[in-house]
Amino acid sequence: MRPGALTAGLLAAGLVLVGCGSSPASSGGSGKAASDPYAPYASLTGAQRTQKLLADAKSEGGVLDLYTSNTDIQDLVDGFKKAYPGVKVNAFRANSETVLQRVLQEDQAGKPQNDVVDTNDSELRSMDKQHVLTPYDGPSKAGLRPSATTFGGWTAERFNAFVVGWNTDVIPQGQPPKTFADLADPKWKGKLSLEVGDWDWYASMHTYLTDNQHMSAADVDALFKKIVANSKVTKGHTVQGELLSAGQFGVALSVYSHTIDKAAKKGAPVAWRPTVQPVILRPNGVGLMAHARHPAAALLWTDWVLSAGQQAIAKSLRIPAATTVKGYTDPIPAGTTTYNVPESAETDSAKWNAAYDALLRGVAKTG
Amino acid sequence: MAIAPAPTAPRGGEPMPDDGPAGDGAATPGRAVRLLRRLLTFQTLLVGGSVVVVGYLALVPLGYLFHDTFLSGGGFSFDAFSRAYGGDSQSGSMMLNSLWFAFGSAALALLLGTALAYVQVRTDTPFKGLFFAASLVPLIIPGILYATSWIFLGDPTIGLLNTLVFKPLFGASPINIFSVWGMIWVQGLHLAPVAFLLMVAAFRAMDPSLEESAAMSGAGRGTILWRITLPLVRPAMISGALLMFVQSLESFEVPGLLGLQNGTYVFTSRIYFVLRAYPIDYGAAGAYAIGLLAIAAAGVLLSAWLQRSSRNFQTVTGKAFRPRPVELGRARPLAGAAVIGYFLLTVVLPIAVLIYASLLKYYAVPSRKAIKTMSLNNYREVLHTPLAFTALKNSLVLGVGAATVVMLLTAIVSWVVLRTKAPGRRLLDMLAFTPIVIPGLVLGLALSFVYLRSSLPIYGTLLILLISYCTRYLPYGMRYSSAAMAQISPELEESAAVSGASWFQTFRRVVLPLMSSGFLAGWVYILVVSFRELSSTILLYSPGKEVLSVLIWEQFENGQFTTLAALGVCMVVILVLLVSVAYRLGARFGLQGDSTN
Repeated sequence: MRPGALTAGLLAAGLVLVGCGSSPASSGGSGKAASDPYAPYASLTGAQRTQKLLADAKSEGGVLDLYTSNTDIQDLVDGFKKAYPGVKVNAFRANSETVLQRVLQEDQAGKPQNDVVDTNDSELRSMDKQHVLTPYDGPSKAGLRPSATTFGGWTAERFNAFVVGWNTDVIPQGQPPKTFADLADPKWKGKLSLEVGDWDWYASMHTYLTDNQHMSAADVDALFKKIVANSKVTKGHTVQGELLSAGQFGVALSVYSHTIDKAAKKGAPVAWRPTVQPVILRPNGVGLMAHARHPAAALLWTDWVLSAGQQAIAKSLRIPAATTVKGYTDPIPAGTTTYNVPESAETDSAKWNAAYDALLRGVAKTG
Repeated sequence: MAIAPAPTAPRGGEPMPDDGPAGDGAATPGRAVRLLRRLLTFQTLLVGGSVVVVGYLALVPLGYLFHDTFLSGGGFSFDAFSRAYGGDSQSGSMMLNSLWFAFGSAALALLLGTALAYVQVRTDTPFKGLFFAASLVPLIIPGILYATSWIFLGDPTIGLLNTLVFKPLFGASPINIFSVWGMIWVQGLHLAPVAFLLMVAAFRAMDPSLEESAAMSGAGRGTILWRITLPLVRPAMISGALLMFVQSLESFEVPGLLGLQNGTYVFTSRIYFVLRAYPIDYGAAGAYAIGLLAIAAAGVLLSAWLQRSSRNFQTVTGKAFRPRPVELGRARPLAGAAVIGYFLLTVVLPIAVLIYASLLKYYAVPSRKAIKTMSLNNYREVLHTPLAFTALKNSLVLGVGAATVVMLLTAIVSWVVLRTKAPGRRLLDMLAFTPIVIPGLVLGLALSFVYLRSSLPIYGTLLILLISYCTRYLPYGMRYSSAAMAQISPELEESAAVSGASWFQTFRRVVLPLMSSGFLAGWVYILVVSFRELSSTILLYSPGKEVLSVLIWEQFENGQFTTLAALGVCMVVILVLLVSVAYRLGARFGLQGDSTN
């Protein structure tokens, strides 16, 4: 082995790297004022629209590339396939942060690989800020709740509800928590559970208590400190849900209603009604990619998901965005206070994330 | 992979002198041609190519990491470090927790793995067949399932060990898995196979004549073990300790599930914290990774320093040897009991919990009511997952591919590091270790950044996953290869060269077969762990290119814990079958007649 070869080799590797690093034309697909691929369909409605979209989707290749963090996406894909057998759906499934990263990376390289994205509100808001989405203005919009259509570049298709859930074996009949403030009582010591990443829930609860209940910020902080002192911290909603079913703790403060409902359907001793108010609603939505390779398929999917597809969403125990879905009753009891994740949770995400982290670690206490 | 395309090279031709004097007095064109010919030999291409590939694999994510950490704010700055370590981040105390956790886990794993490997290779213990499972199963079970099954075993109120064993027998629930000791216990058991695989290879390649001489000189068994045997396998022990220590420092599965419940925060919870925020502070994440990098680099240097007198460990020499098992005599039943005990703890208990959970609709402490609801529905669901077979196929291709590529590359590169005096070889060793501290998400971002801009059709194919796995497991391959290489005396290569073998012939027919135990151990390790790699996979895979870990993630996100348990059980069965086939094949290729079970 010649001694020089090693140095030369590493140098070559370095050069390759530099070569790769210097080439990016970060122009991005987003910056270009390309023509709107959805424009030809804007004025169409009814059967005429569907037929034209279906015909064009087939001539585009009969595929739809979908990026999603919706873990119940298979129900939607199956339903869509039944409605439009001619269009094949390729679904990339990942967590919402990954979906966002993938979309942005591809956009910056000018190579978008998907037509539609289906994920959580904060990620969709970020994409919208980067101008990678085109607002949906099709006929299905008319059937949605007003709160589903206020987001600009994307449209809510379903809501996740953060609720307080409990194990009915550990918490005796008639003794579940009644109000959020109850949970500060020392009798709950060691019986509560918080999830380490739920800062958006924390931001919503905090804002609700100050803005709607008119508590002072200091009182809210004190309340949360007492609740944290009663709590065990878990990581991941799935583990939290499973440990709740198994009775490792009695109450989970920020679980999804559908997690509890699914477990209860299987017979697990868990419940979330009568509700501890408020129920926090977080929209999840669908967005059309501005530079879709299959725009007709993308519109066909979105039309369907926001109308007939709402039934599949209701069936997987989520809360649909449509005002009426046949044969469906809202899992949230009438008269329950609901509260949407506030805008400030998104704009000040770094602040809330840090505050929740400090709260759980008890750093806020000593300060 | 881009291993030297070598049509122009004289394949296995004349022996290649390492540092022949340059042709003197010849005309310049002739000299240039000769120099070129010499540079284009198969050896140079192969070795140079491997070094370049390894350097490239390691530098891409590292470059991305450094760029984000120091240059993200426009100009060069250390801001990311003050954001990461300053304020009320408590990074100091978290680092102490991390070091304590990592040190404890690595020590426990090293102790268990070494003891087990010694008993397996060097003694006539009963139940040798169990070692195979004990060495693999904890490795196969994804960390999240392993830790959760230990929660179901060791929780103070619902843990089965407490409710079924200690409570009825002693009236107390002494086991609390939510403590630093519990974390060390679970992580140590989960890591012990890393040490076991390394140490088995090391003990197999050990010349027992040194022990025999010690015995002749009157040394007792304990003295021999402590003064002769263990020092001889030091390269493997150091490699193992280093790998396990750094891996524990950067893992968050066990600390996340067991540590948070009692308020024990570790360093990686900081990385988790910055990566979950939006916009992600990649600078701060990079600053944390660089903190870990400093520790890892110090570890590599320390291990090189500890192995500085390389001759001391070279037990595979020109003399024939055959490791002879120590007869345990009266201690044999004791050893047997210990083996069974270990097997129970690391394999039977967690797997039993998983199997139990996989038969339920939701996890519940065993009761008549729970047992009544048992069914095979979860397994049916796994089999009916639309992508199950695509994912299994892709995982197999990637696992076998990554294991083979990494072990071949690192065999060559560890030869460069240990056998040559090439300048920069230490740096190369360190460089090949860096991927271990790069967060998976950052690796994924680095690779998608590069290959989205490359004209080669790599993005969106399985190839990008292969590149990612090769990068991620490079450090493991390096440790396994160099531990094996350190035991081989160069005199064997020298005699091959003297007998006229080319470098490639020597490497292929002398070096590789001699290090085959270590090679196979590393291969098995990479194959198995690549089945559960998720953090970079999830960003890089594409529809139709799903792998098993993506399916596991999906079940996990969807709250289907019991289905996940069923999937875990299936994975254990598949990989155990697969690896036993690999061992069969490996036994044919490697040292003949050393397969003791």
